[in-house]
Order: sequence, then structure tokens, then C-alpha cells
Amino acid sequence: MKDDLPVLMRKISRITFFFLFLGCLGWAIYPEWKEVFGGYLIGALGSLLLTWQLAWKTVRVADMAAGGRRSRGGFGFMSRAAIGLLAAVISVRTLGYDPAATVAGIITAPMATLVLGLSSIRRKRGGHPSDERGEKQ
Amino acid sequence: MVYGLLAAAIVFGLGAFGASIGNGMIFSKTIEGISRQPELRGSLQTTAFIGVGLVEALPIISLVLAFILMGQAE
Repeated sequence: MKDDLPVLMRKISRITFFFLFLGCLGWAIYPEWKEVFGGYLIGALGSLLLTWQLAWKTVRVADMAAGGRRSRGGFGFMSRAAIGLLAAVISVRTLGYDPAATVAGIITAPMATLVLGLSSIRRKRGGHPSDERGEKQ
Repeated sequence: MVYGLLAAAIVFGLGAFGASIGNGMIFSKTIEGISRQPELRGSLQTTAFIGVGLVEALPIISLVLAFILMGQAE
């Protein structure tokens, strides 16, 4: 069984941490743009939490499907929406940071997922036909 | 003020409506596929994760936009 999810999560986390580093660097270089970089940092942190929660949920659903068990009820999307809303409330209402920068931070991890997912699909399509049978070229 | 609240409700409601349909389709097909072929679980759960991550990005952005619209309406 080929399990790509931990590898994908590690890549997404690495990309998000890189953007967090860029945000910290921008804040250090341009302190007068504190509202923009601060909002971006909080949004990106929230998006990282969202992605980790989604990966945990996906693995749990797959475990239940493979074990033939019924899924227990949960809050599902509401918990992830609450994480996003919490990041927005902390950033915009409590700290007074820029709302647009917060939204840009929240879409950091989904954009990384999109880019990595599309690149992995393209890589799979470009593979040799004998790959599916496990033969060595 | 009423229009701002109405705009926030429409933005989040429509975003969540589309995402709920998309999530339901993705997870139902994933569970069906894993039940039929448990050996493909790894690749199926990765594909489901990518799909759900993309589908859920929009309603979360719409939620934050709705929140901002509500803040402007007050």
C-alpha cells in the first residue's frame, strides 16, 4: 500500500513554514507594514492548522472505511470553519490587522495543496505503463 | 446595515452549500473505493485529501469575507 499523505503533508507544512518565514522577514524589514504582515502570519498559521485537522480527519475516515465500521458523528466542516473564523477574529478584531492579508494567509496552505496535487497528478500521468504492475524498468 | 448582514449571509450560505455537496461526493466515492479495494487506501485517501482541501478553501474564504462584511455593516 502506497501511502502518499504523510509525504504530502510534510511538503505542505514545509511550504507554509517558508511563507511564514517570508512574512516574519517582511515584518522585520518593513515594520511600518505591520498590519499587512501580521494579518498574513496569523492567516497562514490558521490555514496550517486547518490542513492538519483535515489530514487527521481524512485518515480517520479511511480507517473506518477500511475496517468496515460506521463513522461517528462529528462537527466536520464546522470545526475547520471555526478555526478560520478564530484566525480572522484574532487578526482583524483583536489585533486590528489587515483583513485582506488575513484572507491571503488563509489560502496559503490550500494553494500549496493545489500546486502539489496537480504536480503529483501530472507526474502519475507521465509515468511508464509498467509502473502499475510494479515492474522495474 | 441590513444589506451588509444579508450580503454576509448570502456569501457564506452559498459557499457552504457548494462545499457540502462537493465534500459529500468526494467522501462517499472515497469510502466506496476503499471498501471495494482496501489495498488502494493510501492513494485514495491522498486524492480525497487534495479534493477536500480545494473544495473547502472557498467556503472558509467566504466565511472570512462574510465576517469582514459584517464588521463593515456595524
